[in-house]
Amino acid sequence: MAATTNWYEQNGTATGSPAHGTESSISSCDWKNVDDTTTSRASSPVLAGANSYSKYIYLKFSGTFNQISAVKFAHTAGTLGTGINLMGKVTSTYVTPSTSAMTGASDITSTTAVGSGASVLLGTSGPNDANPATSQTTTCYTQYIATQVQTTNAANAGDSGSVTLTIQYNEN
Amino acid sequence: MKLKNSKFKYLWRANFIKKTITQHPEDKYSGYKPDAEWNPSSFRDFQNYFDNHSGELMSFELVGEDKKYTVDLARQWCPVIYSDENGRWGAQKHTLIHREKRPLKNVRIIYYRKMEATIENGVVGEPRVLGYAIGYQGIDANGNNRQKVITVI
Repeated sequence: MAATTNWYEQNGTATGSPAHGTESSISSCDWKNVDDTTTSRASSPVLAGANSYSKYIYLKFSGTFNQISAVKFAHTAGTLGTGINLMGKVTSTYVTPSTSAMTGASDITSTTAVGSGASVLLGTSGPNDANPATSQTTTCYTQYIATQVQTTNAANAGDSGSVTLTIQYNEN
Repeated sequence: MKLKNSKFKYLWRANFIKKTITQHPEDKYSGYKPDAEWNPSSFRDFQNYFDNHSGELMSFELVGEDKKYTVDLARQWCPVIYSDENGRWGAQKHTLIHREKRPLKNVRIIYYRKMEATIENGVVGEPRVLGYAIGYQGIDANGNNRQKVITVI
């Protein structure tokens, strides 16, 4: 036994305080022209020159562990292709996903070793926890990892390349 | 050590003067509650005992199939890290990895597994162990925190 990790995504209009969307457990995660977890990217492609809907995903840690700490996130492998940029940020704030350029996001198109990636904090009440910390000793959630694909008219038609997003953490 | 029944490549073992605490093969805490969403791991048992018997910890070991890594605290102010390896035909290889040069106080054990979870081409993967880290931290005479951690793959 060890920590159990489950990926979640939130979608839809931001509601409540702190703001959140509707939570879904996910086994896949695609950037596309619709804000949901079910439509395939082939069925709702991002047109050249447009942006995908922003995506808010996070990890929940449960199961058996003493402490989770030192969480890092990075785009670690693969490229999406010419004219396609991958933008990302780590945040505790959920904003209704849209195709507008995501504010405060960094260009993470180039790969980075995860050890040099963005630090991610952990909260006990959810990804929007008001007081996240670098470690937790009970069931906890990472902050939101918000990403968006932004394209130019130079983007090639057809499916994009594939990338690997990595979360690294310490567990004992 | 029941390594064959464990999902872990290495299990830890803490040797106190009057007691040995060993990581459960499934990392279960002594007060494990099967219906709980979350349980502490075996390391919580070590921490709880250590909090009341810190001066009695002689060594903390990471035990694998053929190799063992030890944080030796027989002299707690001067921790030593070494490995022992079983070679062919019973040969033993002892390797000194690190010896603390400055006297330390309030020495504590560091142990964790470095983990990685990925989303590859849109598909969520299972987390995997990148390495097992053990070491120590303590306070030197100048009040500075000193630590040494080794990561075993």
